[in-house]
Amino acid sequence: LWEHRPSDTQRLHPAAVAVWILELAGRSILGLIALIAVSRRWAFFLVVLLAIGAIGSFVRYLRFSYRLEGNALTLQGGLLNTWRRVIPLSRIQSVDVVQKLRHRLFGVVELRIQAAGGRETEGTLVALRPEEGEALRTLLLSGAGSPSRPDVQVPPLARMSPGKLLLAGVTGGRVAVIAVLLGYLEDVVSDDALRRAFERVGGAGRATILVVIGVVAIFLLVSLLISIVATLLVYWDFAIWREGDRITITRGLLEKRRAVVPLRRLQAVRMDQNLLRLAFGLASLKAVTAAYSGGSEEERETSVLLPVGRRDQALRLATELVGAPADELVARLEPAPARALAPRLALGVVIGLAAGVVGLVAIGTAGALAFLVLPVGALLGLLSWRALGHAIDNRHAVLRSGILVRRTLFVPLANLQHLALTSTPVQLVLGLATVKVAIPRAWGRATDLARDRAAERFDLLAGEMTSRSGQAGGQLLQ
Amino acid sequence: VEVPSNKLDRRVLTLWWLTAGASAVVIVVGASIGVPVAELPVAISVIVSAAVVIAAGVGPYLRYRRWRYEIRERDLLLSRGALFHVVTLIPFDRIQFVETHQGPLDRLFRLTSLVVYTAAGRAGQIPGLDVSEAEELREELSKVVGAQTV
Repeated sequence: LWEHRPSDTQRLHPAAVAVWILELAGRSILGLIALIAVSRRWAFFLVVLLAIGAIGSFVRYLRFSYRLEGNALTLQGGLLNTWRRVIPLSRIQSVDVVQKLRHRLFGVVELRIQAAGGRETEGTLVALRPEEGEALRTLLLSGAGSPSRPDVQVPPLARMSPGKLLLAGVTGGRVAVIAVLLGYLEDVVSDDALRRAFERVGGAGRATILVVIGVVAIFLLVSLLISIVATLLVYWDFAIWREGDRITITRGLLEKRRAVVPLRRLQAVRMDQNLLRLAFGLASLKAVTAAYSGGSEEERETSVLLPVGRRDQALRLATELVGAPADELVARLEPAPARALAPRLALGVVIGLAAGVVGLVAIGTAGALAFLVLPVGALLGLLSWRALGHAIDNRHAVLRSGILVRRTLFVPLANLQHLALTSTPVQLVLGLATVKVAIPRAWGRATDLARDRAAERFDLLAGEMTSRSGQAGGQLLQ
Repeated sequence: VEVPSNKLDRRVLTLWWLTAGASAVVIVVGASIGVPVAELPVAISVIVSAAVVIAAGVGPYLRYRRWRYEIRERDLLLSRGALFHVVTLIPFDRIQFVETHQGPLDRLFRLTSLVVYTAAGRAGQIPGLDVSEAEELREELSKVVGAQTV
């Protein structure tokens, strides 16, 4: 497969030129359309721009080269400002094989290389033959763990059928959460009160209200559709495998992606359940790795270990990946004391009262509808209190919190970097405290424990951290 | 959770009073000018000024009184916060590196901050150490860190 000796200086596949031009065109397409719409004469500039882009891409192709030599990958390029980047193999966190539409047209793949400590992709090889890409990926990752087999034989840990993806899309959006919240609200506020409130407002003009409701309904419907389509596109044919000490994730319809993450780079996994998924016993699972917690959309998608599944499936996957007895730990989660509910309810009530008063003063009687914020606020306070929970065994910590999305973090204690025990003035008055654990690029929190309990937990974690030799600190950033 | 034994250098309190006092003066002057210029009610101006002056006087003192640090057998323990209490524990074998930091005002008071990083980022900072003491601490920490990670 690997025709050249690896230490030779290599060029990209010539299709790189076309891929760059298409990328450029894709980025500037709105501007180009606008230009043409303004005046036909501008179409001339379009031709010029494309020509410049094409020449630039060709030069870039000629100047770009890469070389895998010893324990490092070297990339170089540039015409006037020549650059050269050396990425040690030991620093490589993951290598993604990406195939966007523009790559598929020419039957090539793009390789994206992420390194520890870097926020963005450290190196991109924009066009390679697929076999070449696979072979290079294997070579690049050979420094990061045991050799991997490109042909995956083991059965996947999880796989998403189109039906499951549809479920993920329907239950994933914000719309679904709003719907459930309204459902909860209906239980809290009586129908009569709602009807009377609406009738009072109705005096202001029934037609206007209908229009408003119609617009809101259409907006919600459209965002639901977008959520479904986006989920289908991004997670089509999703599958996750464990091959020895690394996990491989493949997914994507228009853009096929294949991500490989060494298991030891996995700092923690997080199970997310929005209100709707919570009600139906569904959950998604995400990875917290040192390289993949950046802000970009793409990175967030890559960190998904399970787009949606039954809660026990998510827990099994968590057990497999971080070695924690996830279901047992979740069953043992210690709830927050009752007095932690007080400030949460109070906040909701205060905001609700304030909104109501402002509404009354500013709009008049109809503004009283703003008092509806009060039960919503109190409800959110209740939800956030009920979500709180933590459990610690001798190897893992499980921390749960969240309001609209319930987040359960599973962290191996070996990955903890430092600890904090904090109290806000409100917590001091109520005799509460929060234990915070730092892992690379993320904090986990056990919020609002009784102060003594928090101190006990802090000491327990401190003992576990100092008694075992540090696996994480030295290994991650060497 | 134990209470760490060492207090910060006394000079840091003076430094904090100085910086807090400077910002208080700016705000008080602003609030006073606001009365004739922006028709700010006199009562509000007085209340704001009084609050700022009290905060500038009491805040640094409370902060100083709460600040404690200790280099223990296997970890570094910090305890601080006048209103928001924070206790931080940093095990030696998770420390990536230690640095000392000195701003222009620090130099005036011959003070130095010690900053400790783990793989999760900046883990803790001890402000207001005497220069020689900070250097000593940095060397001492670098030694134990090196000894345990190799």
